[in-house]
Formats: sequence, structure tokens, C-alpha cells
Amino acid sequence: MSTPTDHTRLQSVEGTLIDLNRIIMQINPLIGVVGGLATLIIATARKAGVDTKPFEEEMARWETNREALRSAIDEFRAKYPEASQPPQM
Amino acid sequence: MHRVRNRRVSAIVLALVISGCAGNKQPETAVAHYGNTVLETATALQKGITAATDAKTLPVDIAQKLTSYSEQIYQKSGPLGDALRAYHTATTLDLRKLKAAEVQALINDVNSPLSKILQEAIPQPALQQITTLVANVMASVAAVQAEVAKAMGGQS
Repeated sequence: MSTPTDHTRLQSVEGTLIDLNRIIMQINPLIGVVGGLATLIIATARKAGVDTKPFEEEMARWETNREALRSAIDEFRAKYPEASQPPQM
Repeated sequence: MHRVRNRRVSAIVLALVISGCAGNKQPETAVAHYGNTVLETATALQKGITAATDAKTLPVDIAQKLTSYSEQIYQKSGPLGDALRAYHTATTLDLRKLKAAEVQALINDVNSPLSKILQEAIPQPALQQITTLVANVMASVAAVQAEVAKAMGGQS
């Protein structure tokens, strides 16, 4: 059997719960937005990571191909050393 | 009501992510790809010059001139690589277009030694072989020019 004091305490707890519920309801959309933004940032970073790799691979090939061209020129110059200096562009 | 709003926000965010990933094409990677083809075909050209000289179908003095033009292409490839990296890392559209223009100018310079090779008095049968090799390099240069033109036109 509840006393008037118990009833007051219950009302107080109920009030606190209602307030808490109101706060949660207010920040709930904010959580959604923050979560969405985080997803967007991660997706963008991942996208950047995916896109950078093919470019870096091409640039690694670039250096290899430059060396191959250099070697081909040097091979000719070694065989025919009388080759003159390259003309100015 | 809040749950419905959350779902709407999530749907909008998801749509943004999907649309961002859909256009996942990087023009500078395509430019670098075709730029690599320029270097590969230029290497094939130089090897062809050496082979024709070895076979004595190409006089040494002419071969030396042709090699000096290959050297010019090689010299351009250094700044071109740097310009490609700058193009790739450009953070704004205006900067990207500026760097794309630099790439375009450098790749255009590669055409100059190529056309000079064709002006040399190359005897047959080396002429046919060298012309084919030069044409391959020119086709690669044209591919780079086309890709850069796309980027400069704002299709990045």
C-alpha cells in the first residue's frame, strides 16, 4: 500500500522519465544526421582511396617506361657514340 | 515521426553517397594511362631506329638525328609526370583545369620532335618502318590530348 510520500516520489520519477524521453526525441534526428554525415565522410574517403590506387599504379608504370626509353636511347648512343648532343627544342 | 524523418535523412545521405560513387572516373588516371602508351611507343620507336641502324637500312647520321628527337620526348616526360601528379592532386575545379592545361601544353610539345622525324630524309625500307612507329606515338599523343580536352571542358 503506497503512502502519499511514495506517490510524490513516483510522480517525480515519472516527470524525470518524461523529460528524458523529450530530450531523446529532440536529439534523435541529430543522431541520424551525424550518422549520415559520418557515412558520407567514410564513403568519400574510401572513394578517394579506391581512385588513387589506379593513378599511382599508372605513375609507377610511368617511371618504369621512362627508364625503358632512357635505356633504349643509351643503348643506341653506346653503339654509335659519335651521336651529337640533342638539339634544343 | 522522428523515426520517419531519420529514414528520410538516411535516404538522402545514401543517395548522395551513391551519386558520388557513380561518377567514379578519374580523367587524370586515363591521361596517365595514355601517357604511358606514349612512352611505350616512343621506346618502340627508338628500338626501331637502333634496329634499322644495326641492319644498315638507316644511315648512322640520320639515326643520330632521330635519336636526338627521342631524347627530346624523354626530356618532356619528366615535367609531364610532375604535371600529371599536380593535376591529380588539384583540389579545386579551377586548379584542375589549370593543371590540365599544363599537361596539354607539355604533350603538345611531344608532337614537335615527332613531326621533325618525318621531315628527315629517311631512305626506304626504313622509312616505312619508322613512319609506322612514329604514327603509333602520334596516336598515343592524340589519345592523351583527347582525355585532357575532356577534363578542360569540365567533364571531370
